[in-house]
Amino acid sequence: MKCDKKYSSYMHKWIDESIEPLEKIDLLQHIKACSNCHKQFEELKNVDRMLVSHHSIKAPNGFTSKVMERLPREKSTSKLRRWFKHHPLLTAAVVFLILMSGSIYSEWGGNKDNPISVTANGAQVKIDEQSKRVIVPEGETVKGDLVVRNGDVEIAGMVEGNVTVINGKHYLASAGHVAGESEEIHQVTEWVWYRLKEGFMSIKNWFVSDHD
Amino acid sequence: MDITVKRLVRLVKKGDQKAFEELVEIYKDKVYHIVYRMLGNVHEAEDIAQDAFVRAYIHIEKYNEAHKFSTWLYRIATNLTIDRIRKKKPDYYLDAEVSGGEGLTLYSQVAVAEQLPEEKVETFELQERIQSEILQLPPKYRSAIALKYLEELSLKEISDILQIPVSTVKTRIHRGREALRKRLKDLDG
Repeated sequence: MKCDKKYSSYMHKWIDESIEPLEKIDLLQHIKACSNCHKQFEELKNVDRMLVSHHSIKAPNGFTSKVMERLPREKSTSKLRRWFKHHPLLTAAVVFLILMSGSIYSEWGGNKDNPISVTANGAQVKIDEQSKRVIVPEGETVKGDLVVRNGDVEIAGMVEGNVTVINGKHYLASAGHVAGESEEIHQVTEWVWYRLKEGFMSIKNWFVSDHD
Repeated sequence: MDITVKRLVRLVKKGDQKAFEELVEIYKDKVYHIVYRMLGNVHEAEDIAQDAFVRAYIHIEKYNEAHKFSTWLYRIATNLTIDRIRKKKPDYYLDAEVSGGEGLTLYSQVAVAEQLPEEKVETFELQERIQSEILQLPPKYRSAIALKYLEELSLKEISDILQIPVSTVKTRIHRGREALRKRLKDLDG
């Protein structure tokens, strides 16, 4: 016996969960009576189950990187822009360093033709322009730090604070005395470090005086 | 998930390849699944699936954000696959040639199968059988079946992907499933 075609359609609708209640009842009654259709329905549900369980297909290893290799090359500007967007702090640091290095380098000068400058806390020191030398004479006391830029320093007297020689050398006579630390700065990098320390100290002082 | 995809697509439109890499990660299994289902050959499937992503990247400007990104992507994948099937010899999916090709793949699978527990071997063989039966279907039924059983895709989404009416999607799924039923009669799940 050939059954009505609608039953086959109902079976598919059942599987797709789009069957109407009346159609459902109709189908159920029919397959109770018709063993052929009952068998067909079971087979169909079986196929559906097998297709549903067929879920293990995964893209092969390295798929993503192979796709990326095949893409046309990214414009370098958008790459750069993205980098800046993703690293706002580093971007700020880069901009800061570029600006700072300009001013620090020009300040540093790097040659001996720049005029000697001395910070001696009001003490009487001799400046010998010929030999580019700053001399703290015997008997003279610098009550604080001594900073000499673009020249050598010769200490025969006393320095109560630190001695810093930027772009020059530091000689200590046998009678001379430095109470604090002494350092010579020859490289731009050291100079930058010195500026940072100086900046940090002034910030600290500013805070301390703020509290007072 | 959808918000992430939208954000990634916008970044890709601005030329961000890193964002595209994330999209590939999200969709690679599904795209590969569709293509493999329809083609049945691992190497070809990988090639076409990669191609689908490359094209999606190049033509990202054409993607309309009013629709789902997955719909657009799957459409590219199914169209490429159908093109590939058409370019092959028309008798490609006749039994003789497929069984010849299968002999080769079966050999390579024996080694794998031996290491698996019996139960897994059975599912493995069953899956192979289903796959080979799907490949006997005409391409238009293959695509409908592949999409229907990919994930929770609605009939409306499948109709959008294949750009055919929902009623046609239903017919193709029903006919495809009916053909599979006849071919897989001997199996009991």
